[in-house]
Amino acid sequence: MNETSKNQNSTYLTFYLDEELFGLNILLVREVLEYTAITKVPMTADFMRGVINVRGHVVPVIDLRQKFGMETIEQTVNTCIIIVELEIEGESATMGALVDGVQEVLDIAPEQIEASPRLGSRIDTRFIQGIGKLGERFVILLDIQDIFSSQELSMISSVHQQENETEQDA
Amino acid sequence: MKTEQNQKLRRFIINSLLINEGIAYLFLVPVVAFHVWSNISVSGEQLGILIFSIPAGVLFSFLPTVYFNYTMLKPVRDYFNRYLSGRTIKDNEYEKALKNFLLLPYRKAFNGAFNWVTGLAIVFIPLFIYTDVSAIQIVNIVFLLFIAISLGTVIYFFTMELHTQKHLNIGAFPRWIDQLKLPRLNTSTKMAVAFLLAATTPFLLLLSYFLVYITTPNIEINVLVNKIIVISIIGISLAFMLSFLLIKSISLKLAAVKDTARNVGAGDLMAEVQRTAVADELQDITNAMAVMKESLNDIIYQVKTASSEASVGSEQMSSSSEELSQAATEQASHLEEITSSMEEMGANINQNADHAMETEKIARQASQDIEAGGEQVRNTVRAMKDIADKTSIVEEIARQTNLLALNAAIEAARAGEAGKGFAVVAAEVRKLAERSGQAAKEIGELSVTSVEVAEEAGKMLKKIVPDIRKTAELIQEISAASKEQRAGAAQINQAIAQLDQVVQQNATSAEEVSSTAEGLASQAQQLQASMGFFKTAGTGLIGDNHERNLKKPK
Repeated sequence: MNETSKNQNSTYLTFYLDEELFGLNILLVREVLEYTAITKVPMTADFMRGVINVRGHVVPVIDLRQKFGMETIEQTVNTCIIIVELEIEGESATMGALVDGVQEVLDIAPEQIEASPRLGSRIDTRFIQGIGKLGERFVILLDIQDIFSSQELSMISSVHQQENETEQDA
Repeated sequence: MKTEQNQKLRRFIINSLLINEGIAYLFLVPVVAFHVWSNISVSGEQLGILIFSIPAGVLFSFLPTVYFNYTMLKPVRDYFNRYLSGRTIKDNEYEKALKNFLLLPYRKAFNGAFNWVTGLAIVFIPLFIYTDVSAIQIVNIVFLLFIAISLGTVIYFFTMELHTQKHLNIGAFPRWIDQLKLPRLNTSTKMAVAFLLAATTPFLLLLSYFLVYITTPNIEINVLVNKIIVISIIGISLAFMLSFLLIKSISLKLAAVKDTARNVGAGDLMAEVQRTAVADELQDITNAMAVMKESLNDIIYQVKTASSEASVGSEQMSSSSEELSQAATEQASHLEEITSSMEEMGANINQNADHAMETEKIARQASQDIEAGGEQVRNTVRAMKDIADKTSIVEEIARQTNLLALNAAIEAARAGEAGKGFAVVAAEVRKLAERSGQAAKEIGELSVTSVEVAEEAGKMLKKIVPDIRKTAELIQEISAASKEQRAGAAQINQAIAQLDQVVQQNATSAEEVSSTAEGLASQAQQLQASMGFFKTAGTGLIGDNHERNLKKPK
């Protein structure tokens, strides 16, 4: 997964958060899971909902709503967990992102993508790769790597480490 | 007839004088003269006195005769004149006139007696004063007095009675007065006197001549025979005359009675009763006949009045009963109308009852059907809920398929060019999944709506059920009421039938009454016609006529 391939790929997974449409590059997405029971982990950040078991691997799940400062809601049948592959300190790590609902997988040509505006968004523009236009609607394309601070990422990785350790222990 | 009668009334005095004086003098004077010449052998000296005394006697008896005739006849003649002139006559004048008229025979008889007594006294008293009168002469003078006075009285009476009887019933005295106090002289007495005189007068004449004969020695036999013949002629003519007067008087009175009886027999009760002059047995009969006539008049007048009233009444009854009959017939026709109306009503009531029963059945059926419908609705609701459940499963499957398709799309995208075809398939599958999910969702929503609708319908049906039950009960009540109505209508019909019978009876009775009344009317008319035979003069008992005749003159 080099930069070029990343750039070349213009396929995105779109999802909802509080009625707004967001997009994630498909290369970062491993799979989409239905909402399952999340095991709470104590002494973690608020947006960290807990961990889930994905085919034997412990995967931390973060609440994107909480992360983006939106009010939390009860999960619905459409609530999904998007399993994202991250690169933390050179190591690849998986993480679950709790979203309101997954829309579809679609291609957005680079011409349709504009740079993120400087003003007026609830989300820090750091996280925004660009804004894709889909007819009348906009899709906020997220740069998931930049969403989390290094500390947060370390927290995530630490969870992985713990998991790895437990795996090793096991 | 009337003029003849009036003529008779005008000639009353002359006729009266002619008959009375005529018969009396024509008969009596010769007898007296014969007696004096034949039986009282008057001497020369006596003759000399008689030559003066006889004219004096005749004169002295003539003057009272004139006076008596004047006083007797004038009031009667005045009354007749007044009657003929047509002037009104007061009741007391009439009564007086009638009394004077009816007293005429008695007064005439007294006149006769008085005349002969005074006349003969004037003739013979000087004879006794101036000459010697023999015993035979005295006897013969006494005989003469007896014959002259009795015959004069009786002849005057009989002739005057006959005369008054002739003038009594010819219109001058239209009404009779019973209360006049007149002396009574029975026919039997009159007959006895007449027979006595007819017998004694010739006997006395003969006896008188016998006395002369035995005292006179040389009387030839043929003289005697002549005398006897004369006396016999006198006796026979006297008997004949008295009988004639008596018989004539009686036959006139009987004719009057007969006329009255014939009038009554012919039904003429208005005709006056023919009266008789002297109070005797025949007058009793006429009085009795008058009373009989009055009574008959009263009774028949009452019968006439009653029969005319009965006629009018029965005619009224007839018309009234005809009206009654008509009214009854009308009633009967009205009753028939009522009966037919009642029958119609009864039929309507029956129909109502039938309809009510049918409606009740239908309502019960509807109630059951609605309950069944409610059950069906519940089943439907269950089925709908099942469908909703099933659609949620489908939805779930669709979502999962969607997820799977997404994941497949992700995998395809990550595979790059190699996964391009797969990505297309995955997209299609996702679309299908999405569509099926959408469809399932819509179905679910629809079923939810349907369930709501069905539940609402069920509630409504549940609400309807008691209403329909109530309706059924009410209809049952209506049915019961209809039955009662039917019974009531039947009773009314029965009552009307009875009424109809009564009305028909009434009509029949009214017709019978009508025919009876008609019969009665015809009988009353017949009675009236029969009573028409009698000519009546008002109600005698309370009317003027009778009262005037019987009561007023007191």
